[in-house]
Amino acid sequence: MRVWLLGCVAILSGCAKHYRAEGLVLRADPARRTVLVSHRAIDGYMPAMAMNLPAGKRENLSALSPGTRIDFDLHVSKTESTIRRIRPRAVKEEIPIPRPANQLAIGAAVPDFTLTDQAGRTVHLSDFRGRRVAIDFIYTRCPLPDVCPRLSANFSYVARRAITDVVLLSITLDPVYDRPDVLAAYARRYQADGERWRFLTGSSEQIRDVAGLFGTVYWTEEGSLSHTVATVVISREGKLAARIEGSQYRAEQLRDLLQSEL
Amino acid sequence: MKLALYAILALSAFAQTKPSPDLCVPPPSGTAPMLPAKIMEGMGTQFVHLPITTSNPKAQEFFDQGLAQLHSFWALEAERSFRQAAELDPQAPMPWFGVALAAAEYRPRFQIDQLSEAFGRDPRGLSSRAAEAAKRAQELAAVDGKATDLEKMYIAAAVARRVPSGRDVHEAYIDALRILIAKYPKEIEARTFLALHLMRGFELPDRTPRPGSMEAAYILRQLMKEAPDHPGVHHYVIHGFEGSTFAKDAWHSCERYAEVVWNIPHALHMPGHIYSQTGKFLEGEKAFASAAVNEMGRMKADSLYGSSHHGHNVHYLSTTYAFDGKYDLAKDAARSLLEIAENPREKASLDANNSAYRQGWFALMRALLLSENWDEILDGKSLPVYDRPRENAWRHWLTGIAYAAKGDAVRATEAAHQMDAVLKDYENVVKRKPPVELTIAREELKGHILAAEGKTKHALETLESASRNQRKLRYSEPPYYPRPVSEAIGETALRAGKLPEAESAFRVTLEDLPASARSVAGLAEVRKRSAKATGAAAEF
Repeated sequence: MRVWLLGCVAILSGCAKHYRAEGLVLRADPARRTVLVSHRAIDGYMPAMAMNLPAGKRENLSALSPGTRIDFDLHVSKTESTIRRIRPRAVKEEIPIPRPANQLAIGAAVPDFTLTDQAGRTVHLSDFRGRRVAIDFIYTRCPLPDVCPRLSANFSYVARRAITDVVLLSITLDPVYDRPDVLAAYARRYQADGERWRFLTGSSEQIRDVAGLFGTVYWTEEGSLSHTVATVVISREGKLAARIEGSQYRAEQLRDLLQSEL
Repeated sequence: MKLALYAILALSAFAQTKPSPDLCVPPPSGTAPMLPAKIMEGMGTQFVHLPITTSNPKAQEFFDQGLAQLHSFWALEAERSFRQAAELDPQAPMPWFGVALAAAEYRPRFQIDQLSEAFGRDPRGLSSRAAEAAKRAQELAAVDGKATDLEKMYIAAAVARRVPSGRDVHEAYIDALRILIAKYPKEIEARTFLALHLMRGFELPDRTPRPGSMEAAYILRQLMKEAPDHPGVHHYVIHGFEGSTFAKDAWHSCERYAEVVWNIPHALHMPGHIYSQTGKFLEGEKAFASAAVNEMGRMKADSLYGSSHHGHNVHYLSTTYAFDGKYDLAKDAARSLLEIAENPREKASLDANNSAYRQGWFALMRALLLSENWDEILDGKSLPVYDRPRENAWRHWLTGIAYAAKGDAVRATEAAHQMDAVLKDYENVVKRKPPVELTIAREELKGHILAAEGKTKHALETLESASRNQRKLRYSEPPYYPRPVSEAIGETALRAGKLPEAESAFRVTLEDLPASARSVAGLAEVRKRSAKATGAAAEF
């Protein structure tokens, strides 16, 4: 009996293939049990793309929100492909970092704020109502290629794609140094057009308040600035729609996120 | 900040006079600093010159500036200058020699020893950034015509110190410098580097030199004649002589160093080390205050400028005020540091006492103790509760001292028990034994409780024992024990009418801490009472 059962399992599993993959959640639908994911290329199977995948029965989709970076297995059988063993990527914190008191949850309405752009113009978040707004936090003196320069390279990629109704805002975490003229020079380095992609600064208090809304914490170390890294997307209705932790996502994944219905 | 006011007040007060842990050393930047560097005034660069092989005179200029900044332990700006030199001449190897030294631990050897002992780690200064720079210098120097023999020897020393080879890096570095100096005996820079790495300090309480310290002092005395304005020489004289029996010999360097390097906070700060331990409190206060003004300007101008060196400097300023009997100034200076909130990394540390906030906390604790305003201490508001084992232990200790001084042995004993509980749990929480100074503090508290119970003889014996142990503590500036225990012995003996014991204790204190306000006052009181008792003026 036992031999017969083992034989069946072996035959069944032989019919399906599993691929390990990594992706960015664009939308999770617990009711329909599907996950729309922008995944990286899957070795030996398919290139990077956005796919809407049915989830395995055991998957907890309520823990997923747009922007969540995940590792998963793609289970491919003769009849369907399913997403299984979904593991959200936790950002490793070497020290406990207190969450800002004003941090918003996904889905919350984002309060209006006012900052100044690289041309010295006053910018209100409400100016962009009806468009989707992607925000990242950088500082121009950041020396780590994998952090601020990478975030800016990702925004540069998206800016060049001219996605309809999308505005990109890069907000400095070093407002004392990053005044409009400094941001203007930085914008030129990335060939930002000054309209679709704008760089914002303000008073230290304003920046701390805005960064806190999106869970970004930063502080001065000796000669550098330590900060948590997040890119957020605000929906056309002014709600916090997505949050990507870290800088290690691909520009194409951000593009897919902004092209999806948030 | 309130401190700005006090620092400026202090400066203006002395405007008419003649000019005159461990985070004493500003740490290197966690990441390579961004370019561009700029030529800065007040670095002492005009007195530092090490010719390098380069096709670009500007590269030489930035290299010399980097060297001058390195000699004042301004690691961040030194590395920036060296990288600027490398940018100006990418084929020149020596700028990378500079980066190799600036991008990792560069400080007096006795501080390296102390860190190693205190934290159970080997802060040998190995960092990938520094090691890569040393290797890069070596590779560039291997190209024909790109480095002189002398430059190659400097680079070999940097490689010995920064690139792990299985040898003790300190010994390898010293050996490499000795080989260089044997061939080029007049080489100023190599001799300053060697002196800095030979100075291993002095054993307390007798100030006996450890191996290497007298050789370092000898080299520096020679260099003072050969390079009388070299900022590194004066800086290293101060470090090499501090804690010794000949600390006063550094007075000239204190004056000259601050004149030559008038725009680097650490250079303005360092003379205070010597002044405050040789009875020149006013000069010490002036040095620390001027460093604070300079550093606060930099903190305001550059949002990335760190606060740890400022914490050390103002801690020392507060300590000097307190030893000088200026208790309100001491408290205000300490409180100014409490306004600098700890960042998450500092907060996460269970037992690091090096954030500006924690240095301010300890400085305030010391100022409250020395002011002997016991009611202020016991009101429970003057010293904020900082819930970490080290600070909890000191807070209970201070409370116990205050109750004992008021004659309340019962409450003093309760505080001692609370201190015991913290010390008992210390290793569980911190994963390291309590620092020895807290063990000594507990013994001192026991002495005060005995005195409060009227057991004077036993109290004095206990305090004597604590004093012996405290005087053997490793040298640190500012002292990490709040005040000499001998001063407490003097005051306890004075209260008990034991005038010879009091006199002896105050004299011991004045040997260790010349001009200490409390001991000067204590000795005067002994003299007054002795005169009264004998009916004649006693001579001291």
